[in-house]
Amino acid sequence: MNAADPFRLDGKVAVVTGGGGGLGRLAARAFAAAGADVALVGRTAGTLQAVADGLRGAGARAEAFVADVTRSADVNRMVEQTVGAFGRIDVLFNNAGVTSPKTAVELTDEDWHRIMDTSATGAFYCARAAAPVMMRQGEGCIINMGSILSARGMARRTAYSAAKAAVMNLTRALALELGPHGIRVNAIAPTVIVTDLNRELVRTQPRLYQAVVDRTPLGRLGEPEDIAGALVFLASPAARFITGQTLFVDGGYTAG
Amino acid sequence: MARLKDRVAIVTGGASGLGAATARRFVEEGARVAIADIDAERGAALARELGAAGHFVRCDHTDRGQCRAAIAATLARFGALDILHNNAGGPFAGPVETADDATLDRVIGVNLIGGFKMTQEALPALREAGQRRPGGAVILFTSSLQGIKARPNYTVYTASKHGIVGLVKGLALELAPANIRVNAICPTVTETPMLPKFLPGMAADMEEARRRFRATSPLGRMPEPVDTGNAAVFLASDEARMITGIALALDGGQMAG
Repeated sequence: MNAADPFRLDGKVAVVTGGGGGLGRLAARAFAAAGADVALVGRTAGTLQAVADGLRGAGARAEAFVADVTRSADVNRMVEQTVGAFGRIDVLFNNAGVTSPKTAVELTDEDWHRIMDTSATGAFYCARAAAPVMMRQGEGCIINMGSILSARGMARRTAYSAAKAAVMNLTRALALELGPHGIRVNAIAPTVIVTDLNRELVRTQPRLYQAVVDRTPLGRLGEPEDIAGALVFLASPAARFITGQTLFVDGGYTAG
Repeated sequence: MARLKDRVAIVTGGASGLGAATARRFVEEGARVAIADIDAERGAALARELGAAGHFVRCDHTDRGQCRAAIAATLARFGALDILHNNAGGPFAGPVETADDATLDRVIGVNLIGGFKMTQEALPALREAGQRRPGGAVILFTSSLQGIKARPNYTVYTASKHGIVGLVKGLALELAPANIRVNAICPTVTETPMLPKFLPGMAADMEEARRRFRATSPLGRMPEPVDTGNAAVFLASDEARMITGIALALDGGQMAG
């Protein structure tokens, strides 16, 4: 453990999927601020490069790798590229996810598979590809993106609720299997987070989100900064005995 | 390391074990800490070790008057109260028939009612902190892995620790409007002075006991007190500003399976 500060990630390499999105950018900045090098993973090269440039401008080492986490060949190549560039993978943050506000009856086959594949299958593909690297190192840490909908359902979020529940139990099973190799596997489960991508929607259509706010004891939606500390904590030596957990960052939503 | 800069904390049961590790980590992160404990000798020694940031207050938290006095002493010494860590607790192991009335009162009293009383007495100061600090005030409880699962022959202890988790969720909902967050830490068996008391049947062979506990975790080891301290630092810090009403297991993955 870093005797000076057990919450630091100096010398570590973090992979962030969905790295061009609002939460991915936030996570990448948080990991870099804690001292880590960062590999940004996503489908859109330009967006990823912009994030990587921003991190480099702040003094971090950062690379962008284009990959669709729903395609295992992409994922395997991304892991090879990350190891090629940085030599190791210490933290894998399976952040990529998509959703749809359609009712269950309206959801198409394509909608269902896109939502399940990005959150659940994508997290599995990435963990499967990164685990051998972490096993060789004898240490590593995987953080999956859960949700309040890992533990609660929500109307018009049928596929997303199923996918995020899958993520929570994927987290447990991986923790059991990878623990003996020194690899911890946890999830964070935030409430709705306001990012650059949905901020305008939250502002112009607050009714869409009011039900979540009303059910949240702390009385607000999440901000990206609310999950940054949780991510760094779970990734750091400060959480070295925490594995298999889903850490709810939800303002008390699931306590009531 | 200044995650708790300018904050004032009370840690009950702070003289040894998990409480002492937490008090040390709080001070390393910039807080000033009142160590509330019935063990005056060890409590005072730890306060001396912590220097100006440490203060010992003798307190049996099952006695409401002593809770009130401990909080008054903390406010007199440090001027505020931002973090209450209800950590004090005691073990009980044995078949359910062996828990006599005095044992029931003691275990539930020390593990559950004491923290409840301390919280009630601390609320005026914590509400003030909730208004004063944008990041609010924090109440932490040391529950146990027995707060979310059971073991045979630990039934009274398990009930008391489950009670803490219920208390935490209720307080979280009730105190959120006052900008006070409330969370529990649920460590599995940790290397502390209390360890042999948790394992009365195994006290003769502590190495075998440790081997068994290491085997409950896929990580293959037991936690150390500082692991609880680090979890407490995180949950007490503003980095956890959106976390309330949770029971965070420190179990090395035991509950995953």
